Amino acid sequence: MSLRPAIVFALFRNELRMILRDKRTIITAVLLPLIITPLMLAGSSHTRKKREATLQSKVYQFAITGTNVAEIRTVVQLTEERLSAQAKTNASVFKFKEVENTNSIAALNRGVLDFVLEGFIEESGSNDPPSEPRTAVRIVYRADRDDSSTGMDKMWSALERTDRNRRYELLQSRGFPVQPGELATVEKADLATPAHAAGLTLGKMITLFLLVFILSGGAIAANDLLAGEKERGTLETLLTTSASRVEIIAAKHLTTLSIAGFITVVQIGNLMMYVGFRVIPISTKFAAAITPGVALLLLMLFLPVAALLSSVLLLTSGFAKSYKEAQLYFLPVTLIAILPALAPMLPDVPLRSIICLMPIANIAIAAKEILIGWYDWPMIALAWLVTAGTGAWLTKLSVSFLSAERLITAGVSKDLPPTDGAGWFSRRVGIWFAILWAVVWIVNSYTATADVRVQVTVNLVGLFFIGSLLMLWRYKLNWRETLAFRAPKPAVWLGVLCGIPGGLLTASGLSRLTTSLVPVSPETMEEFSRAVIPEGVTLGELIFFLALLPGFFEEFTFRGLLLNGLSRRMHPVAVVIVVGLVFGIFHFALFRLVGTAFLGILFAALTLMTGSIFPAMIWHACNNALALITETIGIPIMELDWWMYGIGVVLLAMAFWIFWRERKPYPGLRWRRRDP
Amino acid sequence: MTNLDSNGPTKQRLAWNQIVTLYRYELRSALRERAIVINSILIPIFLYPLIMWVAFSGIMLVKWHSDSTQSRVVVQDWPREHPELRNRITREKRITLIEETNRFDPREISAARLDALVLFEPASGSASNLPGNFQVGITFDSSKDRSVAARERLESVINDYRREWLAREARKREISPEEWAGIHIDSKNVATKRQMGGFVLGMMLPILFVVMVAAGTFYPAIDCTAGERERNTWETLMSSGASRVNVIVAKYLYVTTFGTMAGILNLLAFAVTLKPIFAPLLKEAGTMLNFTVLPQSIPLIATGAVLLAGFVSAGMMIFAAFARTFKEGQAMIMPFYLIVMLPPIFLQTPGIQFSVPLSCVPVVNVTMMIRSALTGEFPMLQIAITFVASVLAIALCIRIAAYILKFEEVMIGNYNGSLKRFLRERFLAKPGRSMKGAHD
Amino acid sequence: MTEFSVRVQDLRKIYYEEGRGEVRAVDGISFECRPGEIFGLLGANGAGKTTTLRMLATILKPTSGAAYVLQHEVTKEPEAVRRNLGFYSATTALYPRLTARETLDFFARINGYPADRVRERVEKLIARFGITEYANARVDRLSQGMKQKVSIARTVVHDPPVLIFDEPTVGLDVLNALEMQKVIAEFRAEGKAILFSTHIMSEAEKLCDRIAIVHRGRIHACDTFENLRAASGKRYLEDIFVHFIERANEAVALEKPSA
Repeated sequence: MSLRPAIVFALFRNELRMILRDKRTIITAVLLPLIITPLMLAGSSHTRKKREATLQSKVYQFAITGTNVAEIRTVVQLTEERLSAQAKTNASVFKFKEVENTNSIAALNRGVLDFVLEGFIEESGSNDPPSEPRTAVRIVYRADRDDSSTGMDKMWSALERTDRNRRYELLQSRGFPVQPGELATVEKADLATPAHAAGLTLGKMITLFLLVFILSGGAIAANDLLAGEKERGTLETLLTTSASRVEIIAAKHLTTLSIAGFITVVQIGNLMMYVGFRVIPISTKFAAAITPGVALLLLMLFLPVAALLSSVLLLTSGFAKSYKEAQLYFLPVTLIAILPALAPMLPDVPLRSIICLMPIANIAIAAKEILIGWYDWPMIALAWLVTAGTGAWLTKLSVSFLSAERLITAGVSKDLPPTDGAGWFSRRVGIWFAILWAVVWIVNSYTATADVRVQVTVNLVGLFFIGSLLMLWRYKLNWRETLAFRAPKPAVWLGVLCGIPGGLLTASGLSRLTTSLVPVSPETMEEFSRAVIPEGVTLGELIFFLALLPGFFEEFTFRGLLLNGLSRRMHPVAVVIVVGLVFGIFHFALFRLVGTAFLGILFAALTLMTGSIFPAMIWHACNNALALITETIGIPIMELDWWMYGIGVVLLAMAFWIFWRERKPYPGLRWRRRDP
Repeated sequence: MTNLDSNGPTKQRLAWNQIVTLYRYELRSALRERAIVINSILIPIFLYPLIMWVAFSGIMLVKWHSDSTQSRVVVQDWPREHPELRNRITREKRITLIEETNRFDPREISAARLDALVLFEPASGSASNLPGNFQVGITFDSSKDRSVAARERLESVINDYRREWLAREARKREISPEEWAGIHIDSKNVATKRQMGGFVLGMMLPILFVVMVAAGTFYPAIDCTAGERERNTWETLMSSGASRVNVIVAKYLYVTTFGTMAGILNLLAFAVTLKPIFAPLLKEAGTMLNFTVLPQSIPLIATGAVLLAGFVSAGMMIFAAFARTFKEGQAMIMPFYLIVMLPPIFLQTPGIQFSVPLSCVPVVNVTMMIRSALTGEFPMLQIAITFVASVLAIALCIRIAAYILKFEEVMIGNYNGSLKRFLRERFLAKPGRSMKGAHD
Repeated sequence: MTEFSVRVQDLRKIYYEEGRGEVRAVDGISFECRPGEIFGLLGANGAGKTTTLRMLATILKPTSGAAYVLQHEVTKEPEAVRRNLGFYSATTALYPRLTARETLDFFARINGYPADRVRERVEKLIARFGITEYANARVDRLSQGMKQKVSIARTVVHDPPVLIFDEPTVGLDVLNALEMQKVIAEFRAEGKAILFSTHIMSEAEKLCDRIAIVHRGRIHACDTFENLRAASGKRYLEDIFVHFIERANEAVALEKPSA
């Protein structure tokens, strides 16, 4: 469909005019933050500075107790002399005063003292050099009081410096030919210009800042432009004109983009102004990092990001039925959109990697590289195209929302309350699992140190199983039907046999692939396998606790209840993906997400295709058992040759080919959208 | 000239059974409104734990990531007298030495194919008086995280080596190890786990608590005033037998309930989830924090939530009373919302004590009181002042709200939702064209 | 066949609703409307009038069947259809933050009215509907009656040959309703084809050249008022309406046991 520029322009002008006339929104969304943000920043920086000054000029009170009081006092006096010599040139030097106190710890707790020096004799601690018991001093302090902990820090370094000086003098007095400080000196030559060094810091944050500005600015327009119009009934008027839906969306997108861009520019200008006034303390080197050329390039780069975010906002606004609802979506959308903007915080992820295909994250990385003076033109172009393309695709999606009739014409199709327990369950299943997740998470943090057998039992039986039974009971569900406890076709078992090694190999390969992208430290992996496979547990026990139990209970909960609840409201493909992801998220450790989610997806697909939960249960149990066995007999499943994983994929494909041929679909799937 | 409800000699009374009925109706309809449930119940429970979990997982990820990356280093001209240093650098797990046959090109570092170049040279000047002394040049690129990490790793190896070299020299010159070692310094934190937990909570909590209470009151306050106008139920309610004061009191109580609930739920969610969130950090710091709330501080915290919610809801309802639509209500309340959130930001710096002057400032005093209650301190004078000051502030706000709502035009929503217009027409307009209103 | 401005053939609209299953909002409706004719759709709330008209205005997509506006099929050439159509209903609101003049200017432009003649056209309509006085006031400051005038002007601003009025008098007071009827009659005199839906009998009786009685998504009678009278043997439209509805319900009741 072609766009008629005159019509798009007329629409655009009209939208813009109306938004600018909405004075109250403009005031609360633009002017208010303009005043409040610097006020907050200035306020907190002022109180912080004031506090720092107080801590700087404070005379710290302390007492000396314990053994060797005299010796410690000498060191303290030496320190005091050294510091008071410095005090003539430097006013902010550490000042302290000894206070006589009989019960010094109580005084410390009352806040009368800032810290206490406690002398003691240290029994020979380190072996190298073998040492006699020696004089030691312990600085006793309160870490929950900033004056106490600052005092401790300062005293520590002051004493240490005194002791070092003493040591150096001692050495020199015995004829050491050079200043001890001149030994093995290190000279650092920095290849980066100060601008590029500042660019690194800036590059890590700039996308995040811009993203927040663009989103909050764009939301003002987007929410009003679709959800607001729906609410006011003007959208229907607009749809009866000869402007096409594509044109309408194009104009609305353009408006959102303009408003978002405008507000972002205003906010940045505002921030810069306050930086200029030194209300916000930021190094001036940042200015050097952004030359006019770089600024122009960044503008070009962030344009598709702004366009993409505008599409996202329009999409949510189009999805919402009212202004209020659209606002409700803003927070989750922002949180999700912010995630890719955090990519540059990861050290050393180059643009020349898979990240180049991730919209927003790629631009964020490109911006960082440009700011440190690194121009990878072909990849920058690719990143630009990927993000711009995603934006265009999402914009097209929002056109389809204008055609989704249930959304335009409120009231045509009302969401009637479900008539049976299963209907209610499918509505509430999300909340149930969110709560279950939180409970599992919290409980796990308390059982983290317990034996793995206890952990597994608590999780699987105490939480998953009881939670599932609660759901079954609460909604009076038919358990046999809900859990898909029915026999599959016999040939399916052949597929499962094929799939067990295939799934394990493919999942391991996938995990490895992700680990090569986002490396996980070997310590973490070791720690994990130590936690899972503890010493002194027999293989039989392991298989019972880590394979048989999960195979039954996890499938019961995820491929039984969760899958059933979701299948009544979602497209089967979405069901499979969501069940898999939820399954992955329930395993908490981020580095396991990909592997477990992948297996979760396989099991969900299997259950939907065979209409039975049993194959998934058997497969799950066997998969875990196989993984345990390979681990115990020392097959490094995560370090195989790549062709082995290839075989895994082939086996898996075969398994699913069998399932597809022998399919007996899960009842009640929604292959088609219910509205016409 | 009308002064609503006070035309006759009968003075308005609070009819509590009516208020309870109204209150229950408000509460029930609120619990069926998705926006309110999400904003006042679900977000307080889930939002911050979720954000913090993501943030800490992210930090851990970055840490793993940087710990597990190797530093690629080229070393030229190893000092022959110091094979031990060479050993140490070679043994360091996270440093990979790269053999370089040609002369080194610094562009390798700029292109991130290499992280650092180490060049050993004999010491010059006075430093050369010691035979075998050398100096190290490290070339790196501070615009690259990996290069900075490489430099730090190298420096730490060299520093360790220097320290031991000095000790060796000392022994050569017959300085006993005890004399050389001197005094050993150690530190010990005597704050209890609970005090530490309270300290961490106190850093984050004041702002979060106020934000949550304010967010909890935000939707209900708009919904029960502007929202009712939008849904055209306002007039239905006003034309019912319930007196206006009772309606307002019921609505006020309902908004306060939600604010209190949001605040307390948020606190609970926070206290329960902090441990799992900080688990990876705690593992390193040695479990030093205890986030459980003292039983004796629970009533004080709950009262604090009620006082704060009471003040915030009264303030919000003053503004929301003018609005005709939900959107307008939002715009009207936003400034108040932001102003309420300002003071706790100042309180985030550590070391601010719950002093008597602070206990006179609304919002601030309650947050300070809750903060000290969390650490197990109960300064009675300040708590008493906080109570009095908060109750006074609430009473004042309610007076203002009651005064404003006396005006028929406000009740019907005649000022186009504009506070400015209300003030202008009510107080500044010439008597001739002024609207009718309240009299004493 | 070219003489028809609007032609609807066996139009259907079927929804699925959770809990209710299939809902046949429009179940095979056919009719035509000529230039200079007011064709009325008369039916109770939920009979399918609005859905039919929305499908004609291309807001909704028909499940099956065809509808033409000046030979343009609604699903194939939606833009051409809308360019030749003015749609007025209680739910097609005006932009509150635009002035009356801006509103007309905007809708003329996006309906593809020749840009050089837009200004002239807008001024003409402002004069015709007596909007002059408040042409520069924002719509949200206008009274109900004023808004209605602007809204009608908005509907015809691009001079479409076909006009759709979906329950235009809902919520209006007597004077405004009469004004509306007057305006609609004027448009007929100008030779426009007008589709008009209502559930108010007197209005249909007074305005419509032909009336279709719609019930449960079907047309149960379609003729001039006089012919309907003759066919049913009743005098007042109200009774005629009830007569046909009852007959329709009986037919359904007869069908059921056999099914």
